Amino acid sequence: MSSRKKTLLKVIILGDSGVGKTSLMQQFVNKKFSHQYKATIGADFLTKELPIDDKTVTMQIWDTAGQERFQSLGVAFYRGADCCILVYDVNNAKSFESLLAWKDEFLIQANVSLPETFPFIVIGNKIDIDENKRVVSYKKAAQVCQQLGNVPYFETSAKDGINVEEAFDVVSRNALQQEEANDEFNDDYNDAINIHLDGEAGNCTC
Amino acid sequence: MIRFIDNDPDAGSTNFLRPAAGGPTTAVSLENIHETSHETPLGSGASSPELTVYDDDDSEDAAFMLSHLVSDGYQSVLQGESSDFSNFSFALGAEPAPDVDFASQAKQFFILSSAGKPIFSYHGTDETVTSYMGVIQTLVAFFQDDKDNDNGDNLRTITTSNRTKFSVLNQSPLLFMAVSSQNEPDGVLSRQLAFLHNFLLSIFSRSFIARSFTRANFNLQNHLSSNDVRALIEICDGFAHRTMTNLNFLTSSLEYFYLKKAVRARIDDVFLSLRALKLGDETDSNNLLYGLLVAPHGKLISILRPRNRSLHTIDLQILFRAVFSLARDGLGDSQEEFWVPICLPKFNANGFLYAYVRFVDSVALILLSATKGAFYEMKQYANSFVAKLELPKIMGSLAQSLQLARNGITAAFVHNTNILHFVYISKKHLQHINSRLPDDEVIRNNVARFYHVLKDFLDTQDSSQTEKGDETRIVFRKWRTGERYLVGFGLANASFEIYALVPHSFGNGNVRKDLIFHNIMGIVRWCARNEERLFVVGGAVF
Repeated sequence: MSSRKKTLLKVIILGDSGVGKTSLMQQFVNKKFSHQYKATIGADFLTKELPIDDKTVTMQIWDTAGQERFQSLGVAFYRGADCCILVYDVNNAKSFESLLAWKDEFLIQANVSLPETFPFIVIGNKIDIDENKRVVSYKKAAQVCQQLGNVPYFETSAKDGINVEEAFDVVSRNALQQEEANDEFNDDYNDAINIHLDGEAGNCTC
Repeated sequence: MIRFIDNDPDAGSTNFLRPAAGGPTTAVSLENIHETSHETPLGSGASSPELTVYDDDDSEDAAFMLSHLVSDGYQSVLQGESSDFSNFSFALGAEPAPDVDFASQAKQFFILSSAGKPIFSYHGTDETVTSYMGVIQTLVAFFQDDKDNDNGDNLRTITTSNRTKFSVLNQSPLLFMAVSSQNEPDGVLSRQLAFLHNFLLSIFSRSFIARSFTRANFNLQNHLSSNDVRALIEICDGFAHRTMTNLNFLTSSLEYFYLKKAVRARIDDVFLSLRALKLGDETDSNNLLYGLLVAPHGKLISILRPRNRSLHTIDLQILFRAVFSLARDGLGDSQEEFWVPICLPKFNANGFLYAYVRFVDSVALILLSATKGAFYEMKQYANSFVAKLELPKIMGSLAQSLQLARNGITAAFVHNTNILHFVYISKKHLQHINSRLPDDEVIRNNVARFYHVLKDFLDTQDSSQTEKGDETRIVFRKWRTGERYLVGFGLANASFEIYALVPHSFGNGNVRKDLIFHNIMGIVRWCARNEERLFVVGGAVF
């Protein structure tokens, strides 16, 4: 088998339109922030190599469009994900209320084998905006994440690059754990073929 | 055939894939793409991608190909070659891809999982390729995932306005994509993708793949050995460079090994004598299922097989490919032996056979068994085989045969008749012979490509005439390659196909079709007469 094992982690970012999914990804991958808002059309893909302890993994980030008209693409995006990031805007109550719906949507579409152990991360973004405008408190958010099944919770500013690294570090670790759960099965070449030479048609399909 | 050009920038479907306006030659950043999309809406210019979705009926597709080609009297297939691919790019990546080599390739092959995880890529670093995988997966899934309708359209090909072709083979949980600027017929790319699929099956088996992907995030890439990757790259090399190695795929047949009938019969007898030995663990058992003697480049010399169980050509091509990729490491060392599990997908895609392989003077002896523990048994058969055949001696005449045959065919037909090159395919034996490659480099490097076009013409005629399949079909084509003109000839009937290239000075009036035809029929008659020398006709059957 291959001498250097490669690890590819597929990570999906979900959340309402305008909460900063693309900005988070751009900040994490390119350390950049754009003040101009551009709605994502369908999906963006970015790749980043990063170290986790002593190994290097490749994170393939699927940044999806929050707008509803792109939801028909769901199955395509979600299939085979290793971790799902749910993003909301701490200044937007509706985006917070949507979190559960996004999580359910993901679990239904992705058809994951063990929904209760699938790794999610919740990110409350835009904490750089004026404290007075904030409508979801840290306490409230942390409590809801607890109810969602002990989902790790981070508050970030994609604009100022606050806590983004930390959040993605947990994403990568949890995704890696999910990916490595695959290694349990054995890959022995044990599928023997029964040959009956006296038979007529037999195994040969030609 | 549904055919549409997306004019609505908000429709979403084509926005994943977009030729960069103004045609920069490297991948374009995400930001740039968003901006250009405001300035030049899709559908407003010649750079719009044209998506063609085919349903299961290929006939209209073929008709389209035909009308397109027919309208163009002199196909200049040799023009516009390797630079085309660089003129468009995917909309992805925040930085222009530094992997310039990747973008300038004339042909790309990708294998990925249905989740969009990369498994194999012919060109490009992992970093470059990983993001593309998401785009490919999304495109395919967009057309496919109609949950209420299992027979929903599958995306087969996309042709961009600059004639770059994307071809898709969806074998969930695996996806295969070819990208080509070589303008070959659709059937060529899909056959190449199907071969890559079969090759993956030969490494893993269908049941292993199905089992592994019960978890959709499974990463098959890690289970490919460096040897497997090297073999895949070699296969793609053959597809991309259009040299003679392509003829096996073109003709769906194996290449001949010219041999005197008596020598072939001698080898067959030795093979059969192995079946008479009973050296299996259980008393009176013999676990030898197939025996093959194969010259370099996968030329079959002899086969031992059970009655009524021929091996499929695809299986043999895969087996030879796998065996000769072992040879790189051990060639010349006749003491080295291999015991390799291999799945022959047409024989049985869900299980493995075990191949004992040994090289004797670069010729491979392959003994196949269904029994995992039969290595020592096969080893004894191999010893017996080598001893009985006095292989070095036979090998001398084998090598001589090969050389003589090539020169002979060239001298007898190609030289005297002005035919540059030909390939004759026996449909009955699924084997082909071809003459020595012409010296002209341009023609030599494009032989397979010419034949692909001719074959496509004959195949298309076939499907459009529907009724009787055994009538003889003929095609003449003229090509211009720089200053020269070239005539391509193809003839097919139920028992054989033959393709040939003949030079033509355009100023000298019309093509003498009757003369070409006469010369070709001379080759056909010669091949028929020498059938038992040219082809492995029956093999050693038990």
